[in-house]
Amino acid sequence: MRCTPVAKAFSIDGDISVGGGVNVAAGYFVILQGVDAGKLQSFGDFGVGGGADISINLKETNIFYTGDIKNFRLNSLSGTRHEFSAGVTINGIDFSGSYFRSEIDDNGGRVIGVSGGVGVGAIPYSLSGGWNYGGTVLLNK
Amino acid sequence: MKQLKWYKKYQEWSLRFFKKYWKYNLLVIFIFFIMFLINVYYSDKKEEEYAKKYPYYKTSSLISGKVLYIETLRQRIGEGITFSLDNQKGYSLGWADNEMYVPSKISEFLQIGDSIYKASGTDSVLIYRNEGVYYFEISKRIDKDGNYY
Repeated sequence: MRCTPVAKAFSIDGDISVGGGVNVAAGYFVILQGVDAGKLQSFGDFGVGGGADISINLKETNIFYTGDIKNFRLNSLSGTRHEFSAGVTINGIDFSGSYFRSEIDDNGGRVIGVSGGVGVGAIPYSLSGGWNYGGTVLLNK
Repeated sequence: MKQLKWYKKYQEWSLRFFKKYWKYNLLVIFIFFIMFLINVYYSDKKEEEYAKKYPYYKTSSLISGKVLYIETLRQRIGEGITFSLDNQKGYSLGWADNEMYVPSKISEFLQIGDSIYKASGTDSVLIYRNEGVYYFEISKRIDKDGNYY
């Protein structure tokens, strides 16, 4: 896997999980490497799973590709993924991090994302976290 | 002002609750982490089984035959395609676009009944349909004038 990100995502991310829950995000991908380097693309993301988290965050995600970079392109970012997120809310300010991995593509490569975010949490002092399974769609493409 | 007082009380209650029960809070997060790992494990197992049936695309692989079946129920990400030939073997092709054809994506272009040939050591794919021969190159885009871009 390349240690430098192949893309970045900037998004607004909402979580409502009390046991079971949903995660919704929307934002922009900036492609840094591969045939689509330099492209900007809006996206939406939706996941369902389990967790303990009620928050809204602004997130920056570094995205990596485990396969040969020649096989990576914008469309590699759409599809299903598993995600785990964890965070802490202090005085209503939520700090969170998450990790996601996509399913594998036909070239044997996988997209992995590591993100950090800051926002507001509904419970002023708490630890938050959860997993979800969902998908990313490229919008207006 | 009333609202601020209400929020201050809520904050104080939240802090007291957190100080008392943070260990349980952490345990709950840990349980969700284990659930995440279990999900990933089963997902990987499914992917391994699927890869046995339709091995990942490699430049070194030789593909030659008539397309008997195209897997549509479980497509992988990235607009590749998985299919079986008349030799009863399964294959995968990564993404490839050629805008001289409609549809331009190989995943939408390839049909049951087409003959396909890809020599070992090259990413060039030839698809034979009726009297025509159609050209794609894996992980490459070709525009309407036949140029790579």
